[in-house]
Amino acid sequence: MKGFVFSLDVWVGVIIALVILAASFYSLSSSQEDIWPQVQLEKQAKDILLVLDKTNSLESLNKTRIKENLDKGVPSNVGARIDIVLYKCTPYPCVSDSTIKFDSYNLTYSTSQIIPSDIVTAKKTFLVFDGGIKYFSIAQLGVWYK
Amino acid sequence: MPHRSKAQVTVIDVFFACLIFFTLFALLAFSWNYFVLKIYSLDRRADMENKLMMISDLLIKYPGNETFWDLNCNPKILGLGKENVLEKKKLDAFANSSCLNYSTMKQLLGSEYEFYFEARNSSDIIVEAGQKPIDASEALIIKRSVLVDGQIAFANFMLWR
Repeated sequence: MKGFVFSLDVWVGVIIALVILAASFYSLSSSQEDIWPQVQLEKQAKDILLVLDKTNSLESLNKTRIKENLDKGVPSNVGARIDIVLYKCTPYPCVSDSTIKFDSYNLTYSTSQIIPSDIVTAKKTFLVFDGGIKYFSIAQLGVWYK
Repeated sequence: MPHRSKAQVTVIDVFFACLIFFTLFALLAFSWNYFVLKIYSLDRRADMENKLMMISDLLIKYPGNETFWDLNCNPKILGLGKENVLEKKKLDAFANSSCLNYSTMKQLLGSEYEFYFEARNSSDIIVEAGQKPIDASEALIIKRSVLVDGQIAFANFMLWR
């Protein structure tokens, strides 16, 4: 009986040690999820919006120009979708007690088919001038790996 | 007779105890080695990712110090432009090994890894600098959208070892 208790102790010890080892392996392998592609996409989305801004494409609100520059500025392995929303002072032109209200959707354009689960989104606000401030605008860019 | 039997049981006990002990010991040693290598590899990779991100940000967001370092080829901090708008003269100086040699560039970028840089438009390479990977065990690349001479281009940075 004494010998049996000793063997049972050993087996319980061995099982605990194996469980701890297995848990460690599992924990290490699950912590290896690669976030680099997502970080890269986030940077690319911000870069593309900045480039569109620096070329004055956004401010022009010229759809053809924005589409062309978006096609040029997106790496070949990346898809992108841009949405531009315009807000306007009410009453217009802006005065001190004006409120800013939704005006219209200026553009929605996608360079390829969308895979919603993989989208990384960046936003940029910009102003459109026409003498004074004509629009308060938000450009939202979603990017994903094709 | 009972005395002999008891002694035999003890020997078998010891044998099994040793077998279990050495099996577990070997398993633990293997696991330890595996974990150390894996953690080192993950750490190295994270370090490469951070450095690649910082170097690409530094070069495309900052004009460098001196501001016109491309004239005297003696920058204290490297930079190729501002806010993703790259200066062609700085790109040319960066790619010119007689202006900045490879080891000086590595030192200025603060990287112990080898690096390769190219600025390109949709069809052609505008400039390239650094060393292309040769027998690299690990390489990381990031593509940044930039403007060169008012034209949309890509700045591709690669770190490798």
